[in-house]
Amino acid sequence: MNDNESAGARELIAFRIGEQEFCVDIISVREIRGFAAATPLPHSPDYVRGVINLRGTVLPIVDLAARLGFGATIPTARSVIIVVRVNQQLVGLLVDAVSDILTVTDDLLQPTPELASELARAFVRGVMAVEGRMISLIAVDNVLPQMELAA
Amino acid sequence: MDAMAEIRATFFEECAEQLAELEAGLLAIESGEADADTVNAVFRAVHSIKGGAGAFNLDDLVHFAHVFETTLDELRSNRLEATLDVVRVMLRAADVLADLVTVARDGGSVDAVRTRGLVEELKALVGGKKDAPAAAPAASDDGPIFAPMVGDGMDGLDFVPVSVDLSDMMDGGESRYRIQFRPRAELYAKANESARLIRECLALGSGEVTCDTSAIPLLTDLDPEGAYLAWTIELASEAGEPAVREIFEFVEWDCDLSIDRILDASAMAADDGVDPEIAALLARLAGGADAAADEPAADAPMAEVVELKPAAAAAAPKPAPAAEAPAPRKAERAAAAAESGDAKAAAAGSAPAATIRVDLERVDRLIDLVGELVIHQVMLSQRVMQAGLARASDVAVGLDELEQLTREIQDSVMAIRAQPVKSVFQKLPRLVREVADITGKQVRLITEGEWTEVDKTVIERLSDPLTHMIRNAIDHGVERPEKRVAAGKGEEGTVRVAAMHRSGRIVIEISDDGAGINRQVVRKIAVDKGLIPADASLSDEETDNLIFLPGFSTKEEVSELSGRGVGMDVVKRSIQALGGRVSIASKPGEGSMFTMSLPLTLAVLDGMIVSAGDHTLVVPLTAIIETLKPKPAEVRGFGNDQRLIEVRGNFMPLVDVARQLGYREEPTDALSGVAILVEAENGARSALLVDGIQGQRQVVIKSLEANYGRVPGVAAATILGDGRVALIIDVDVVAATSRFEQNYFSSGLQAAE
Repeated sequence: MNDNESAGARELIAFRIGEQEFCVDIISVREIRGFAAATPLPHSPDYVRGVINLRGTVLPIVDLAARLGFGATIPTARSVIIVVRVNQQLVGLLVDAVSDILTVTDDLLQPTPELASELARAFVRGVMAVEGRMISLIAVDNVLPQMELAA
Repeated sequence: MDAMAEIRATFFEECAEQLAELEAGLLAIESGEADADTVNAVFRAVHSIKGGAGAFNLDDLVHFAHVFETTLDELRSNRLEATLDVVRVMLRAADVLADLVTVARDGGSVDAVRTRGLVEELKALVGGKKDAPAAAPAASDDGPIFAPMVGDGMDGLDFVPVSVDLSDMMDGGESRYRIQFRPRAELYAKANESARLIRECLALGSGEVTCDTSAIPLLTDLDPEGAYLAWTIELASEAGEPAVREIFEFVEWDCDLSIDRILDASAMAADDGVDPEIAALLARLAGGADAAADEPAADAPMAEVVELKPAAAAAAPKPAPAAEAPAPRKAERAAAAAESGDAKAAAAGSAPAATIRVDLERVDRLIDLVGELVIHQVMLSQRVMQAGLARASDVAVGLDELEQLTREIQDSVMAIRAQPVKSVFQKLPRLVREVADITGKQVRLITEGEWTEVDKTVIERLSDPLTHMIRNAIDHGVERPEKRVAAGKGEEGTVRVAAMHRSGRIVIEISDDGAGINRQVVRKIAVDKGLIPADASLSDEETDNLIFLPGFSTKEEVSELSGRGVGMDVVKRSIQALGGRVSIASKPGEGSMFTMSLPLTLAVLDGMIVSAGDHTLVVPLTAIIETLKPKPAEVRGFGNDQRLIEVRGNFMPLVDVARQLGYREEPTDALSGVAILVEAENGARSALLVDGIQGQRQVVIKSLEANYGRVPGVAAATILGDGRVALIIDVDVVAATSRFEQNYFSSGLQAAE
C-alpha cells in the first residue's frame, strides 16, 4: 500500500454492508459502478459471485458480506461494485452502498478488537471512530481465494 | 530504462537479425546458391556483431567473432574455397557465435571446449592457405586485422616474436597520421556523412583538415549525387591506428582510404625514459604466456609495465578495436555502428520492405480495443433488431456497413500480429545439425512455406512441439547411414518441414524418409506398459497413435535426446492446448509424416453458443464432431447417476454440463436437450448434454486468469453480444471429470502450460 503524504493522512472510501460501515484506501480503488448480474463461475467459493464485463476486461466479483461471513448479499438498486486493484489484479467488491469519503490520519486507526471473529479479523486491518461512527478498514489483499500462483 | 541499457537491447535485437542473416547466407553458400553478395552479407553480419560487441566490452564475443571474421575474409577474397567442409565448420561457428551472443545477453556460460575447438578449426582454415596469418596487422585495407589472437596461450607464444609491429609500439605516445579520405558516391547513398567521420577523427586528438576540391567538375557536368571532394587529415593522436581505422570501418568499402603514420621523433622519447618498446614487448609476452587475453597488463610482472599501462594495453593485441574507444564515446559509437549496420543490411537485401518496431503491448491493446468494437457492434445490431426496425431501414443498412468495416479492422489488426513461421523455422537447421551430430546420422533438412503467416502467440508456442517432433524424427525415424544403404536409400536422410494455410488453419507437416513406425514394437511396448490389453485389436492407424499415449517411449536404450521423460504425449497435449490437432501417417520402410493443424490466432475462436441451466456457454468448434438429439432408446443409465448414450453402436458417457458446472442439482432431461459429441485430447469421445444450441459464432477470447485464476472446466471467457460474460468450456476437463480421471487431467493441464 502506498502511504501518501508525510502526515500519514489518507483518504478512504466508506461503504455499508448491512448495518456496519467499512472502508478501503482510496488509492486501491479504480472505479465504482452499479451492480450488474454476474456470470457465475463453476467450482468457486460462495463469496465469488461470478464475473462481469468491465469494458472488455473479465472482472471477478466478490460479495464482501459473504466474504466477511455475514451471509450472501441480496443485490438492490443501491448495491454497488467497488473496483479495486489488488496486486496486479482487478477485483470488484459487491457492497450495499457507498456512504462517504473520509480523510483520516493513521493515528485514528485502532487495532482490531480481540473479540472480532477470526474471519473478520483476516480482512479488517483496524477500526476507527469517525464522527461517532465506527468504521473498519478493509485490507483488500486477501479477498480473492488464494490461487496457485504457479499457473 | 537508461540510455545504455536501451542501446544494449537494440544491439541484441540486431544481433539476432544478423545471426539469422548469417545462417541464411551460410546455408545458401552450402547449397551452392551463393554469389559475392551473399558472402559479403555473411561477412558483414559477423563484422557488425563484432563491432557492436566491442562497444559493450563483450570480449569473448569479440574474440570469437574476430577469428570467424578473419576466416570469412579469406572466403570473401577468394583465398579460401567454399567447400562443403568449410561451410560446415562455419555453420557450427555460427552456432557458437549465437551461443556467445545469448550468454552475453542473459549470462551463463558457453561450452569453452567447443568454442576453442572451433577457433582452432577456423584458424586452420586460414592457416592452410596462408603462411603467416598474422604477419600483417593492419596492413590490409579490408578491415582491421590485428596481431594474432592471444585467447589461447600457445598461439600467443608462437606469434609473439613476429607480430611485434612498430606501429603498435608507438601507440603509447602521441603519433601523427596522414589520413587520405576520398568518399565515393555509395558512401553518401548509404547515409554516411563525411563531416561526421572527420569530426570523429579529430575527436581522437588534434589535427588539421584540408579539403581537395580539384575533382569538382563544371556545374553542367556535376552529378548532384556524386562525390567529388577528398580530404587529407593530419591527425596527432594518442589513439592507435586501429582506433583511427575503426572510425572508417563501416565505410571502408565505399571510399578510398589511406592512413599513414608520419614518424615523429618526439613521440619516441615518451614516458619516463622507459623504453615503451620493451615495456610493451614484456607486457605482450606476459599476456601471451598467461593466456590472459582480456587483461594483458593486469598481472604483468614488472612495475614499469604497470606504470605504462595505457601504452601496454594499447600495444598488446586487443581483440576489439571498439574496446579501445574512450568510454564516454561508446554509446555514440554503438549508435553509429548500429546506424551504418542498418544501412548495410538495407543495401544487402534486394528490396527491403519498410518496417517499424512496435512495442507488442501497444498492438495487444489495439487488439483488445478492436475486440471491444466487435462486441459493441454486435450489441448495437441486436438492440436495433429488438427495437423492431426493418432490415431495409437506413439504420440497419448503416449498421451492416459498420459490421463490414469492423470485420475489416479486425482482420487488419490481426494481420499486425501475424508473423511468418520463418522465425521458428530458421532455428531448425541448427537443431537438425546438432541432433544429427549426436546420433551420428546424416540428415538434410528441407523447409517449405516459411513465409506462411500465423499469430505471434501461436508462433511462440509452436517452437517447443516442433523441436520435439524434429528430434523425434531424427532420433527414431531416420536410420543410421549403414542401415540406410542396406535398405537401398542414400546415406543422407531427409527431414521435411512444410507449413501451409488450409481452411483457416495453419498446417505443419513434419516428414522423414526413415524406417517408419515399427508397429510390432509399438504394440509390444504398449502391451508391456499396460497401456492396451494384450488382445486388443487395433488398426494400423490406431497402433501408430499409441505413441501419443502418456507413458510411452519407443526406444529401449534411453538416448541423450529422448531420455528426458518427455514423450509425444506432451507434444500432443501442448498442441491441443493451442486448440490444435496432431496426427501421424507412417509407411514401414518409407518414413512417417506428422501433421499438426493449429488455429491462426489465439485471440479469437470459433465456438458453438449453447445454453445449460440458465447460462450461456461456448464450446470450441474444434472439439465438436457432431450434434444430435438423443432418442429415448439411446440413453441408458449407468452406475449410480451416470448416463451413457449410444451413437451408432458405440456407448459413450453423456456428460450433463449444467450439473457438472454446478448450475443445476437435478439431472437435465436428456430428451429435451441436445447432445454434442466431442473428442477429448486423448481421443476419447463423449457427449455433452446441453439444453439447447443458440448458434455458432467467432468469439474473442478473454483470460480469466488475469484477474481471477484458473477455473476447472473453463478454458477462458468471452463477452457476448449482450455485454455479458460467457464461459468457454474446457472440453477435455468437463468430459474427463465424468470419468473420474481428474488427477490425470489436472496434471495434464499443468504440463500443457
